[in-house]
Amino acid sequence: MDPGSKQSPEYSVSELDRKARFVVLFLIMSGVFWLLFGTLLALVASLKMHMPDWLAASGWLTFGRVRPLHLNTMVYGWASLTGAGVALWLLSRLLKVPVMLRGYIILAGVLWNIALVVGSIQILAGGSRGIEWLEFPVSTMVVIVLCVIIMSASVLMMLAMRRVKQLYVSVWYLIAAFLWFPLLGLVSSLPIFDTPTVQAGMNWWYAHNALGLWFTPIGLAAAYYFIPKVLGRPIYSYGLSLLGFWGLALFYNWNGFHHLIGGPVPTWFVTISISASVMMVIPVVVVAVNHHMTVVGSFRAVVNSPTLRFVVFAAMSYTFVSLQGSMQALRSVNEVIHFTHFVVAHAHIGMYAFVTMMLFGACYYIIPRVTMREWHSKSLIKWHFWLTAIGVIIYAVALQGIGVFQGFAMIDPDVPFTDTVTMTVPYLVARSVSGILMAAGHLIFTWLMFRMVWRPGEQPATPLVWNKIKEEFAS
Amino acid sequence: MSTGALILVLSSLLIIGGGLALFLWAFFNGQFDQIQKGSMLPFNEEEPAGKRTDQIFGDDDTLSEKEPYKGEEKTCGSRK
Ligand code: HEM
Repeated sequence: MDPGSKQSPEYSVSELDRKARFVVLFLIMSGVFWLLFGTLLALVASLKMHMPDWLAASGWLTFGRVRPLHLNTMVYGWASLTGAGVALWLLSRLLKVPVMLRGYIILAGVLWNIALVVGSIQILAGGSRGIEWLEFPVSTMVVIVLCVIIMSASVLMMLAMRRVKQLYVSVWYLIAAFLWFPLLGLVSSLPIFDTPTVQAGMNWWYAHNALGLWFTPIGLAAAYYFIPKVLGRPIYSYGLSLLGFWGLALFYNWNGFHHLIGGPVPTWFVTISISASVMMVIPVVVVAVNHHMTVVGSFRAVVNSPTLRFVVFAAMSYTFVSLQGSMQALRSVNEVIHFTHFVVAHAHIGMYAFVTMMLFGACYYIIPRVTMREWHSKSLIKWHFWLTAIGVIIYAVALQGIGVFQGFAMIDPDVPFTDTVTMTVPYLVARSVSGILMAAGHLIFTWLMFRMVWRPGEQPATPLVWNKIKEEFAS
Repeated sequence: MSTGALILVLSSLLIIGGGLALFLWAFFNGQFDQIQKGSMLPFNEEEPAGKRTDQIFGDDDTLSEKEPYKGEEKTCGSRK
């Protein structure tokens, strides 16, 4: 007998979507707000890189505050909130049970947003924690982790009540993400990392695992669902997909110290990380082959689907960024590219071309289903795709290209340091142009989302917001 | 080794240990018994394999592609 069949009734797909509607929309729309705010900060930070005198009089808008806030709002606002919404919707679909604890998740979402506002003010006021990826004050991080724990409880309840016996590979990725991330967040908030070296170790253990054990599993879970679903064709090899998951579970966790190659940490820590980084080639190639073999021959279907345009672009970026990462982790490569714009480009291929594009694709599939409405404009969706795709390609090519030259210049004792800075300026201007393209794409996406959720002049499909929240607690 | 470094190593082992525990549970729970059947899990009677969704930019010439599927949804799939 299927687990949970005694407790939970059978739900149709549309019933599941209807029940998920409010909580999923709330999380995704909150994420979209932070995407816009994070984009504004990105543009300010990017322009300041080649116009250093701009806004120089304002302490709140110095590069050292705007840049970390850009990262933190994108990571914990946009990607985490939207990612959580997408993850819960996927789990409801794949376990065939409604999202559990919906009222509590909405409450958690409200607290999460408040914590982000408080954390943002603190960073802008100069109160950053000074640890990359963990610049928000500990209080903000603790609130975010507690909110994720509420979602993890919902995930475990859904698992216990599920109406399918076998778990799909996307479910494996998502269970792992919801179990691993709270551990990472809690450990990184402990007041025990007091010496600079140990703090740096914790920093990169946390940050790399947040990428590999939170954002990457959510992204891959989405790819494994949407590619077969849109094409109407099962994944090429289910065995390979499981191999990819267990490979990631085994190797990713050891990667963090490749960020500290050449740093004052025990060499064996770093060597283990380099080996694990190279081992990551196995799960990455496995995922790439599986996705490629599923999509091959269906190019038109990919082009005709807004979801798959973004999802396939994102899946290809995942392969690219990960194989590139395995090479970056080699000592001989790292001594050139470390401290250069090459790494910044790699970071954006990962967090933007892979994670963000995957989330856009997921939204194009999920939102019409939970709102029961059609997208307002097909051509605007195409504009969104091309602006963001071309934007991130320009970003990656410009900064990775100059990053290599910058790296060689920096290790050449005959080149004055200022030359290694001025040589990058034209490419930093190109980055600002790419940022403007991506920002335009985000405005279009926001407008499309806004039209879906609040259609002007139309009778709302859902009751007033407070009634709705009461209903979620009652169900 | 300082407390911080020790906690990091132990947490890493916990992550791997959790992964291994999940793997053992999956193994003894029969999750790997009929592996290829798992690929059908995203589909159901309402949304069966062989039916494309989300084809909102296409014209009917997309039907000429080689993979098997019958019919095409011309909406984003909101089941209006
Ligand atoms: C097998 C997979 C991967 C490996 C081995 C890898 C390797 C690396 C290495 C060695 C660095 C540090 C370079 C340096 O500072 O010298 C790095 C940085 C980074 N990677 Fe990856 N990477 C992988 C996949 C990814 C993915 C999938 C993402 C995004 C989801 C990502 C996002 C980042 C980010 C954001 C940074 C910059 C961190 C910072 O300095 O702020 N990477 N990666």
